Amino acid sequence: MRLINKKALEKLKRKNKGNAVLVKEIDVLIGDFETNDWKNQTQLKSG
Amino acid sequence: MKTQFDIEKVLDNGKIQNELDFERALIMDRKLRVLSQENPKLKVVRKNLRDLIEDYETRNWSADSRINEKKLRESDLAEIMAEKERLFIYNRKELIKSKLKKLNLSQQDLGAILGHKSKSYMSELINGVSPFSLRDLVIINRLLKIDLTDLVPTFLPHTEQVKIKSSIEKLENPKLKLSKDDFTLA
Repeated sequence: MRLINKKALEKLKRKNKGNAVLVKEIDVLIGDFETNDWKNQTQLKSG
Repeated sequence: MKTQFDIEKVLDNGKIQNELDFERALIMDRKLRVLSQENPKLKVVRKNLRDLIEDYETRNWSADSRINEKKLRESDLAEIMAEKERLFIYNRKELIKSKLKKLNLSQQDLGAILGHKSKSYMSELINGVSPFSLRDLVIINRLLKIDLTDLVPTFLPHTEQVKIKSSIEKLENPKLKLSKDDFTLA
């Protein structure tokens, strides 16, 4: 799925370098968006 | 210097050049999401714009991009500037709408006066998707009695401020000084 404004997440990562848990979770979130091909909100919720 | 994001120019260039235009493009994308529901032509524009946004992010903000403090600061300033522009356009829109209401005029009536026949184009102008011409703004100023400072953005991007400050300093003229208030973005 196309993810627009990924920059906001990258900035959050760079500004919280010390927070390893947060950085890891952001990477997981970005990965989830990019590897899944949700077509609508219902599909997104059902995971 | 651009005072408003010109989507056509950016699409013609085929590339987003800097952080400010990137932030403006993100705001434009959100506007187009709403406007394209009424005007299908804008769906194509939005798709092309999103392609450029994605390309810029891949080049500048991917996980392996070199992002230093300077770049983060530049991005923060661009966000502030773009948000100021968004608010300015929103306030201008509300002001024009309220004046039109008082005069019992529709947006289309104003379009006819300005010489814009297309209803959707008038909507693009009011919402800041396309920039008003100076002629349009002068007519609105005279007709609706809206101050020009509420119609024309007078704030400057940070890069422009730096250039102007440096030029003024080089002149070494004590009579020529700019206070902080002269630059909206301090």
